[in-house]
Order: sequence, then structure tokens, then C-alpha cells
Amino acid sequence: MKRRDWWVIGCYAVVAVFLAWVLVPILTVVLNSVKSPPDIFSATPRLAFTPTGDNFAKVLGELRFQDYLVNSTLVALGSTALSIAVGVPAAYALARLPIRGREWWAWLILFTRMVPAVALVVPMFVIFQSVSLLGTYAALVAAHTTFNLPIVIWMMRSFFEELPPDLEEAAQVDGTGRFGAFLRVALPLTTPALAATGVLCLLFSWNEFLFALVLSGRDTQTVPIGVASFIGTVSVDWGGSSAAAVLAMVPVFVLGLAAQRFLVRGLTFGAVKG
Amino acid sequence: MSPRRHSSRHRLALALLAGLTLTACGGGGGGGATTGQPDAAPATPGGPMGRFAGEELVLSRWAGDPWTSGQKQAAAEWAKATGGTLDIDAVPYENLHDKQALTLTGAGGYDLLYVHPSWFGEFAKAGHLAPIDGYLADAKRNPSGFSADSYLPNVLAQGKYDGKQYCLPDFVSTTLLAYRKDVFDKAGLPAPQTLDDVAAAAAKLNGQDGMAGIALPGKRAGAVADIMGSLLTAQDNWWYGPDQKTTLDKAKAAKAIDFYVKAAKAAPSGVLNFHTDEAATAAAQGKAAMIISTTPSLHALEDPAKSATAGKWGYAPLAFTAGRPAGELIYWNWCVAAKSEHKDAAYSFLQWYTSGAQQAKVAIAAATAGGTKDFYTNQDVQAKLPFLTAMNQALTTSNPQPSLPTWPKAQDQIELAVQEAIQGKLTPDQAADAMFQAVQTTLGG
Repeated sequence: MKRRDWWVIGCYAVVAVFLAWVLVPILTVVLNSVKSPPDIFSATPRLAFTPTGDNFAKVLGELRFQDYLVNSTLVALGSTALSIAVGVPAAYALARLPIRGREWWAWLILFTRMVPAVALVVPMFVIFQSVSLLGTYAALVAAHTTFNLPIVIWMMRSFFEELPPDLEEAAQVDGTGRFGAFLRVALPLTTPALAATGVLCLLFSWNEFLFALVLSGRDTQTVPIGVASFIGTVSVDWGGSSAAAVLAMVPVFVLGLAAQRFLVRGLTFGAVKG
Repeated sequence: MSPRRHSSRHRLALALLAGLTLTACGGGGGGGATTGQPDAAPATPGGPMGRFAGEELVLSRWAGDPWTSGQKQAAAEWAKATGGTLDIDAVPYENLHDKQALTLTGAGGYDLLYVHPSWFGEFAKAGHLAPIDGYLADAKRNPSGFSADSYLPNVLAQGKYDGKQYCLPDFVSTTLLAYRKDVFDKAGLPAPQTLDDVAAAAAKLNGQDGMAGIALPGKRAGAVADIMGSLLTAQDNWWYGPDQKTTLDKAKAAKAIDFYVKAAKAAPSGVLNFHTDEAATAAAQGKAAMIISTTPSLHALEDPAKSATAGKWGYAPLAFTAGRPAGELIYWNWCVAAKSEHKDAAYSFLQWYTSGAQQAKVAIAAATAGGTKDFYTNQDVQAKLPFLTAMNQALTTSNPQPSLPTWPKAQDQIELAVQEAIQGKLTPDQAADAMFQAVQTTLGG
């Protein structure tokens, strides 16, 4: 066998091990979600079993996990929309406008991302309580925007910087203003990047735990709180938590598939200069 | 019950910040005038006292565990009978303390709280809880014949701080030994009477028919300290005295650790990562001939849906000397928040839910015991909980799970010492010494 063949086999082996490492836990969760307790707790993992929908029935019936899904959807969409609405113009400004000390501004924005969430959550709790927003969607959207906004600004800034300024200058020569050049030229050209950034924001918001725990109310708790709620003090509802985890994964999985084209293009946007 | 999987770093950070905000936010007043009709007779026999039309209560508790749905049902029954509403704010147990501390430090928002003993002292000292002596003593607010005397005195006393009664107990449990009667019969072994019998049987049965000799918690999550507490109580010793100075006898601690190490040698692999549920799962699946754990987790042994060994278990309290059983009194406190504007309604639910009849419903579903005297004479409960007799014996000689604000730190060090003894890093004597130092340091001399 040629040396190159060994190299290819080695690559496949590494990929196979990596995929097993990543996918086996997910597969276990998926299988547990349709297993009855005796099958879940069997001494050796059972691959042959009679599937049951009891876990999903309990999670969606008695425990109303769909409420958590709705809450997470509203918060994630709200935070992403707000972050993009504010962050994209800010990113463009930092990339293009002659702002004094703009690198410092950019680093200052990034610094907010470096502050541990646990240090922010208590002041936020006090602030939201004082303005009677504690336990509302608005509080969660605002809180999640604090960590999504720097991501949007930094990602989109780098994308805008990769665009040739000539295109916008040409548009301005043709009579549009700076904002028009941004809206009609720069923004359409960065659509894949915008989609990738939006997906990342959605994912970060969807999976966020601490702010959701402290700032949410009984009616606004999000998916991570719901999934963690299956861990009791003396027992863990493995079937229920697995069903909840599957339900929590489905929207993200669908989103990932739908946005795959944009994600690949967006995340490699500007990686190679033409 | 034991604090489990607790992020101490996270908790500490939040506690510090919460403390800072205390001064920033101000204390708030709390209290409130009488609301509703707290002395109205129950709508149905055995129902809750009072009418509280339009009053909206919020209860803070942990999420998960089998009896959550039962509690929701109780809340709905209370609401229907009194005209009020009771919403449950359930968060993961690991985060319950922080969520409660933040909420109570701020403007409030909770009327009723489940407070674990390890932070009861902290909350009472901070003024987060409302005294209920007046409610308990007021015959008009309680069903006929119901008073503080209805509770087991030693259990009720755990809800006292600085001479005032703040909370009512429920979720009573303890540590017990469970052993496979069929396995012991087959091996020709008598039912274990003492912990020496347990260690000997564990060594003999270990490895037979693919079983470990015994399963028990080894993870630093609270249950190890609970079992150690029971092993000390079985030797007439305890971590500290009434003056909160340590009374730990190193020789007795070493004997307890020695037993733990012997048992761990006959435990399933990975015992250091076992909490109560992992130990119970192993035993339920026939992978251990015995188990020492807390009573709620032992309930899984008798659940045919989860256990391949249901009906095969015998139960006994922990005892170093035959006829001298001991346990640790593990319990939770139901408390009324100081800032609640619905204290009358909150007490109505609290009294009703901790009464023997309601606790019997919880016990049958979840294997926890009530805090009232009549609970232990309930025939339905006795029929459903095969370990109730052993539990009673254990609780007869028991010390309550420590509730000092500083105790979680000591508890962690106690469990670390046990782990290091199991790993062979420390001898039982050295581990006992480390334990003594940790307890003494935590208690301040």
C-alpha cells in the first residue's frame, strides 16, 4: 500500500473517531428519549427495544416543555434582531467611518464580551427589578443582546472591511449618500455573513443559561432551564430530560440545515482575498 | 436530601454580589395586614383553612424529582378550596439557593419557600423569613386539634432560629441499609445486624454472580456526609455541640471512615462518582447485594418500572452495636417569606401541606416522610413504604442534618477526607484528623 493510501486511511480514522466522539452522546440521548426506564437503566446499553412515546408525551403534556421552546424562540429571535439592528450599522461605522480612536472603540466593545456573565447578572437583576422588567421577555432580550451585540459588531466589521471600498464610493459618485451606500451596496454584499452572524446569535441565545435562570420568571423560562429541571435532588429523569433535549435540538438542527449554505459562505467570507 | 452537583464557585460569587446589593437595595419592610379570611373553616373536611379570593401566591422550590407533579396537584387543590392561586417557580436545585437569595434580597416576589437546612440559617439571619409562632399558636388559623404539638418536636425544632419558629418541616428522610434477602439466603448469611456484619457480607458477596458487595455514594455531593453523620451518631458522637464547637471524636470518626473504606472496596467501580441515584440504580439493576443510601433514593429499589430487584429487599438502620440503630434526620423546611404580602394565605398552604394527610400522599409517591406525629401511624403509608419501620428506628436516634450557614464548607472537606481514605491517600486516622481540623476551622475553633 502506498504511503498516500495510509495517509487517507489515517484521515478517515481520525474523522470516524471524532464523529463517534461527537455523535454517540447525541445518539444515546435520542435513543433514551424513546426508551422506557428499564431499557434506559439496563446494565448493558440496549439497542433492541420497543420504542415508547411516553417520555415525549410527559414532556409535552404534564411538563409543558413547548412553553420553554416558545419562550426561547421569542427571546432568541428578539435578541438576534436587536443585535443585528444595532450592531450592523455600528460595525459598518467602525469599518468605514473616520471615527477618532475607532480601534479603541472596537476593543472596548469586545471587552464587554470578556466580562464574566456571573459578574453582570446581579447588576442586571437589580436594574431590571428597579424598572419592573424582571421576569419579562424584554429583560431576557436585553440581557442576551449584551453578549450578542459585540459578536455582531466584530464579525460584521471584519466582513465590511473585506469589501472593496470602491463599490460604495462608486455608489456615492452616482448620487447616493453614505447610508445609501451602506444599505444598497455593502449590506447586500454581506448577506451570507449576516446570516452566519444571525445564526450564531440565535445559537448563543438559545443555549444561554445563567441570565435566563436569574432574570426569567415562571412564564418566561427558556429551554436550558427546562432541560436542567429534569435533574432533581435525588433522581434524574433520564427519559424526560432526553426527550426535552431532543426537542431542544430540533429547532437548532433545522436552522443549521436551512442556513448551511449561508453559514459556509459567511464564515469563509473574506478568508481569501480576490 | 443532600446538596448535589453544587457549583460552589458560582454560588459564592452570587452570594457575595447578592450581599453587596443588599445594601444597595435596602431592606424593604415585609409584613402586611391580615388578608382574606384566614380563620374560615375548611371548605371540605381535611381541606386547607381560610378563604383568600384573588390572592396570588408564588412558591419557590427545586425542579425535578417524582413528587413535583404531586405538589402541583396540591397547589391546585389549595387554590380551589381557598379561592387563591399558587404558582410554583421551580428552578434546578443547583441554582435554587442563588435564585432565592437574589430574589429575597431584592424586592421579593416569593411568598413560600422550600429552604434547605444548609441555607436556612443564612436566610433566617438575613431576615428573609417571617416568624410563624403566632400562626401556629392561633387556634383559629389551624384545624381543630392542630398545633405545634402535632409535629415531631425534634423535627419542628430544626425550623427555629434565635428562639423563633420560622419554618415547618417536610421531606423527612434518613440513611438506611438495604440488603438483598434472596442473595443473603442463597449465601447462607443472616440479615446484617451491625456494620461489621455489613462489611463482612460485602467482602464475601463482592464479585459473586456479577454483583458488587455493596453500593453507596462516594461523590462529594452531600450524601457521603449524611452517611458519615449517621455513623457518628451510631457511636453517640456528632460533629458539634449546642455551643457550635466541635465535639468530633477522632477515634470514632476513624472507625466510621474505616467502615466506609471497607465498604467502598466492595462497591462497583467508579464509586467516587456515585451519588445516591447512581448507587440506587446499580442496586436496582441487581449489580449490588446491598446499598447504603438515603430513603428517597431507596424508593427506586421497589419500583418495578425501574428496578429488576423489586420486592427482594430487606431494610435495616445503620448500627455499630446491635440494637442501637442511628440515622441522620434529613429534612426540608417550608418557610414564609418576610416580604410576602400574603402571609396568611401562605401559612394556610404551609399548614395544610405539611399535615399528616397531605404528607401521606407525597410519601406514597416519593418515599419521603412527613414531620407530623400522625404520619407515622398512617396505615396506607406503612403499606407502601417497606422501609418505614427501619426508618423510624433510625430516626429514633438521630441528629439533624447541620444547618449552620458555614456548614457546606465543612461538609465538602468531610467528604474530601472520606474520598482520600477510599483512594488510599490517607489512613482512616489521618482522614479523621483532617475531618476534625476542617470542622474545627469551619466552626471557628
